[in-house]
Amino acid sequence: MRRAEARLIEVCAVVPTWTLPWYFRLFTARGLWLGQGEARRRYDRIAAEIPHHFPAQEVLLQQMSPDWSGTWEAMFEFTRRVAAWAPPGSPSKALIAKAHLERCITVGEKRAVAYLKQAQVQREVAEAAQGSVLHPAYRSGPERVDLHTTFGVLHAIAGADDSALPHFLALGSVVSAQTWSQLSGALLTKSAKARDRALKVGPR
Amino acid sequence: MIEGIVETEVNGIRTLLARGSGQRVSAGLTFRVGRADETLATSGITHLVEHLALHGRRLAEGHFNGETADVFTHFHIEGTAAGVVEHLNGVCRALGSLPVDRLETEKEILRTEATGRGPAPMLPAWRYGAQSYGLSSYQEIGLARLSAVDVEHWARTRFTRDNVVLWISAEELPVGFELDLPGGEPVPPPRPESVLPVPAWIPGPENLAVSYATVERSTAATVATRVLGRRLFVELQEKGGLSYAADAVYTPIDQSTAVITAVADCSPEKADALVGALVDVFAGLRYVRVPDEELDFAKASVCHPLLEQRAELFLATTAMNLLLGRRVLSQDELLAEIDAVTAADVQQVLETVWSGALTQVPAIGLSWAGVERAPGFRESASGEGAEYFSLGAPAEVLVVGEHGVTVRGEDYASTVAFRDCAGLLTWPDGARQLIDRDGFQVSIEPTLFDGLDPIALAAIDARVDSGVVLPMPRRSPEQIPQPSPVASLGRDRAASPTRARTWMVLWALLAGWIGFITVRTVSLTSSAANGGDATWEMVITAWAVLGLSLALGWWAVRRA
Repeated sequence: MRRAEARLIEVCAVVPTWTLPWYFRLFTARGLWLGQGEARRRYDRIAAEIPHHFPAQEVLLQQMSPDWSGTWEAMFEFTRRVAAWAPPGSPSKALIAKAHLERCITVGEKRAVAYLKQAQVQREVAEAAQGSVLHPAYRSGPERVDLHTTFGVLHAIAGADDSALPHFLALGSVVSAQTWSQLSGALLTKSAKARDRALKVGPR
Repeated sequence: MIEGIVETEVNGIRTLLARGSGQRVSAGLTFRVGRADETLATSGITHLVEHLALHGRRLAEGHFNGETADVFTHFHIEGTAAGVVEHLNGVCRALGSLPVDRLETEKEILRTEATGRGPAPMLPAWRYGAQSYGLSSYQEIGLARLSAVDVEHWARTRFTRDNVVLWISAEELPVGFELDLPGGEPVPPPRPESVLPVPAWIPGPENLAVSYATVERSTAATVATRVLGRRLFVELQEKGGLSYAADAVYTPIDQSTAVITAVADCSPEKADALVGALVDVFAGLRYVRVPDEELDFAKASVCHPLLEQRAELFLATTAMNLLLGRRVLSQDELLAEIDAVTAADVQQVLETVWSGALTQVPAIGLSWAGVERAPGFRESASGEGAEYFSLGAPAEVLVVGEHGVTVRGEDYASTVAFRDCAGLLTWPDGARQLIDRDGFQVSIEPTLFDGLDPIALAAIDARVDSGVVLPMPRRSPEQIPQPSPVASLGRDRAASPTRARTWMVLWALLAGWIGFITVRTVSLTSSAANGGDATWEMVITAWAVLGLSLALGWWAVRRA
């Protein structure tokens, strides 16, 4: 990690506006425990070039979880600010769904269901989907499968099959391993069953 | 020589004269002596001489002051020609016969001055140890042992007419100078020698980053410092919004060496970002040639004072350069040198700065950026000797050996060898602190080690050169550390000291009661049985039980 960081310091010095090495430096910042302020500074360097850099936002989101010495408050505030800034159809509008997923898998199975069933959470997840992957202005990108999976799962666990339906249909035979593999026990069963039902029902 | 400055001589003293404007005369005596010439045991002696020399100097008009720096001591005055002459003559007279009856009073004034200054930056001590340029990090702890003979000797050997430059800004050279100073030798400043492998970092406060590096004195280095300062300002202050102040400063310290210091502050919650940004600023200057417009900007700001054509502004620096034996260039020569500095020169200087810097940063440190943390302690052989166990920290032991003193804990060990000891600080309550020339320390608190009595302390004192023993002022009882009772009871009982105490008292009562009953029973029995072997055995056993019970009870009460 230190060797990588040393090379990245050099690359960022030589081509300071190239966002890719700065994106990698979000991972080294996390791995080397450099802290929230430094991660944020690195993200800001990316945002200065590409204001709605979704992959960078996702990494920073993880950094903001309490696992990496962040706070839930800071994480949700970040997602809300990012969403408010992003244009319609931008994946950045979906970031809050990733935050809810992070949150629910840390609270344990039972409480995860209760957490996701809250009206406000379901509303925020639905709004995020409407603003991003379900928005007419959304242009398919590499994040598409993962976002649909996230939305499908967050609705399915809460028992909101209707809301989960368009996402599972959009996915068809695939899901995102990144999100799906985080599920276990009842969360996995509920998600799998809702997906089966959705694929059986098909488009209405 | 700077245009507009004439080099001359007044009573055997090298003199620089610049044509000043107006009636006021500004002048100074700059001596080539300062804190870096002292040792830890004499630290403060130059400042003390400066104070004594200025005592009793009263002037109807004008401002005067004295200043003791690392390698220079300045006496400066501004006033009428007559006033200036009278003052500097007086300073020299006083240096020849210091008012040593005021020694203790002036020491007290210096101590008060020190408390007003607050803690000194620690980087010099880390870099140079408790000697030469590192001494500026320490309090003037030598004051306590300085005698009239010491200060008079220091004045006679360092404040000489061969170790001073007089500089004057006036319409013409004032008349009446006596400047009666003893003859002597020019004394070159000590060589700055790092005691630390660099680059290195040390932890500091969460709101500050300071980089400290030595480079060869050059015009390129002054330009490079401006480039660095400007870049820090733009990246950390203007763009990053991290700092309220970010800059770099160039300070010559001897004939061929200068220190470049980069400083940036921040609010504590942005400490990690400050460190990251500092690393990136240096990387940006090391890996990429500085663009022309930045180089030109830096050159212009270095040139600016030269173009003002006011020679008197260069008097003090010229005096210092003369004392260091450095060739003094004219403005035109300097401008030509500045003009010749290239982006590659700047890059090379800043590479030297980065790879030779000692940097004080907030807690995240610089190890992630390839810079190692400076060792805070080191162990060497202290030889066979007595061991004293800590009453506070478990597993900590103090070894007073033949060659030195070591404090060893679970994951650290620090030794000060007696022959490397630069100062042995002694407090009236028995506390000792040994500081070696490289700045490593061992603190000894008699209250914290089992069996560390005055005899043991005397054994330490006896092995240290008496010339470095430094008496410290009495401490109030709150300042003397005590072992925490929880720690000394061990971990198990620490959980509930109150309950442990109750059990101990109960155990003591029980032991006493058992003992009493046993003795009473045996006494009654023996008096009834009229002696005999068996009875004697019983009596002895009974007394033994009583003794054991009382001992256990007493022990229990002590532990409680």
